[in-house]
Amino acid sequence: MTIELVFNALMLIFFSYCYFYIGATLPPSANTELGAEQWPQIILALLVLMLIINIVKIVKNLKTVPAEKQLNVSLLKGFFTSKLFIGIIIVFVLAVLLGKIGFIPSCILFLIAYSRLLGEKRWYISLICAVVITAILFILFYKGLSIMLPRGEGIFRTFALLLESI
Amino acid sequence: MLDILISGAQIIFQPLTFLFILCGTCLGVVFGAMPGVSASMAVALALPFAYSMSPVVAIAFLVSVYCAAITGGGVTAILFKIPGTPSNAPTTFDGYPMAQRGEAGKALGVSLVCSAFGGMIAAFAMALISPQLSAVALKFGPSELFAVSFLGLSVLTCLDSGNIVKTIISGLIGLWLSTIGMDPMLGLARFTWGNSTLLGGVEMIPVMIGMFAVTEVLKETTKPRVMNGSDKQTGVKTTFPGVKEFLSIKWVMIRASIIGTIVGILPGAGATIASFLCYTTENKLSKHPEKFGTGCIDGIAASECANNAATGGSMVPLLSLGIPGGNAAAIMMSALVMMGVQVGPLLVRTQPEYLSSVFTSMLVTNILMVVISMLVAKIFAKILAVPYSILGPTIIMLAVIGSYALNNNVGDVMLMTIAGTIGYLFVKQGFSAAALVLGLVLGQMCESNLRRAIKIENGNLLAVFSKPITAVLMTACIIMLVYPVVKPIISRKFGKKANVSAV
Repeated sequence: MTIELVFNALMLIFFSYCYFYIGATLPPSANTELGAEQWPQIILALLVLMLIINIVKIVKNLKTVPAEKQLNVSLLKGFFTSKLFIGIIIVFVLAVLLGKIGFIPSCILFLIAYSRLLGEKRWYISLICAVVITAILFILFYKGLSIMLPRGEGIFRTFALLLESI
Repeated sequence: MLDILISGAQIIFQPLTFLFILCGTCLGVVFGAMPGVSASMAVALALPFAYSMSPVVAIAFLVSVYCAAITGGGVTAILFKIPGTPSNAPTTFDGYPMAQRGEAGKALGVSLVCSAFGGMIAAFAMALISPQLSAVALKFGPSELFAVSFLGLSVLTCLDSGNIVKTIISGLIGLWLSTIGMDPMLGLARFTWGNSTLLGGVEMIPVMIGMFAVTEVLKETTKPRVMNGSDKQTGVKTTFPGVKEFLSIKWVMIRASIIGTIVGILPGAGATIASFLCYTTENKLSKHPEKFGTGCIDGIAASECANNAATGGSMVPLLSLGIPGGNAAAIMMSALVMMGVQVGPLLVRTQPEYLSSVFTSMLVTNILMVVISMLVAKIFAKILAVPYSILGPTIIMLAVIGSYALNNNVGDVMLMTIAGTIGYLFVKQGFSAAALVLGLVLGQMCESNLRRAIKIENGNLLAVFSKPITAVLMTACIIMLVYPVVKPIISRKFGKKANVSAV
């Protein structure tokens, strides 16, 4: 079984569910109009059809798939310890932290973490760059363009307000 | 024409007004080059400066910001694969591969020349045929507008002719994403699963930023970037195309400028649709479609000519009818209304200085922005020398600010992150992120116009599609959709015949 087949099969299941979900959650529409549920149903029906065609194509070519693309435990293990997975996690953590601790602390932490992930070995370079870039972004967007940046909650909000008032 | 130019020059070349236009162009290029600051956002940010100006000068100033922002967006699209404005997204397809090959300067040169060319053609078109074209645009009802947006969708099959099924799946997912949230006609909640955040729908800009910028950084995380050529060492020097190269793309530029202007005139369409439409049209018409997406100047020319031409087009209905052709034009219109100007069909007849000032401002801006963009590109290109361990996270932070600034909502940052992750998986599995974005952009326009058209005709589908303009456009759509599928079959058949006759 290949990753591509699993990916397509999961999409097929999800979009088939969506097709029935929208029909079940919206009131039926009149014959003289295209209802709120019918346009998504047209799209989803086409989507399911195309996914089935794609899955058939994948199954036909299954024997020619190289071993490294076959789904197995070592491949999954490799993914969860890869730089890519850690990178995705760091970006998700940033998205969560932004609302909690505000722009400035989360930007500094993110820049340090991601630059280390990308191979910057000298921690002081990571730290200096993170602080300088955060300052530039803050001055450029908040002071220069009057674009609001997340302030965070509690003490972080007070800190952000203090910096904004400077 | 000459009298419009003379009266416009009398307004624009007054020292203070010219200074405003110059500042507007600088602001526009810089705002446009900043990821997440769209052209309409740039116009909105420049609005407070316009309040102190007279209405005629204010509209000329705002037009300069608008035109320059669209051009500035091409700079980051080429250098970092981050479209500064949504309409620069197709520029990334060929601009970024050229930058990776060490030809960023050449890509920027083509982009700037084409932007100026498209903008000027549109300015002349606006001044010459403004009332006539706007009268045609007025005849566009919901069914015709559906046909126009479907025409934009029909180009899906050639976004990646290598795998049509996967490209169509990507486009359909984009269309489905556009149905999430409140239904545009009745306000019914769709695919929200009880979550109030989803009621507002899927915002286009965070998805676009995630799909293009975050995905790119994630790709580089696993496989560090290699920038070839001389640009890495010497910085980017904008190189204008030579006469031979210029002649090789002349028809692309002319076609894209004309199509861009026409699309810009249609209310609700705009620069994004224009650039996608022209990019894929040129892909279809090209003798070497396989070169598109690998760093070919035709792709950059099509996209940049079209999006700049659409800026001029969008001013036609605004000036002649008081109908904004897009978001930026709507902001300009609201500024004029706030200043007490009566916008509508009488504006151009009773106060022709508005048309002449906009026309001359566009001409002047399109020349000024080439010089200013070169300087901005130089500054932005210096960033290429920064190690990727610093540049990569900074790109993500710019993407975060761009997504957050849209609604001051952290939820949009999460959406961008999800879009980036899914975008990475998509690209890895051979799906097309560009097709998904196209579906998302055109989805709501397609749906609302089709539903309105069907409602007007009491459910009679034949009446909807048999209107002359709609019928012509839909026929064109079907040809465009089917041609890439049928083309290999035909060529195989003819190839076989040729082989047989040769034997």
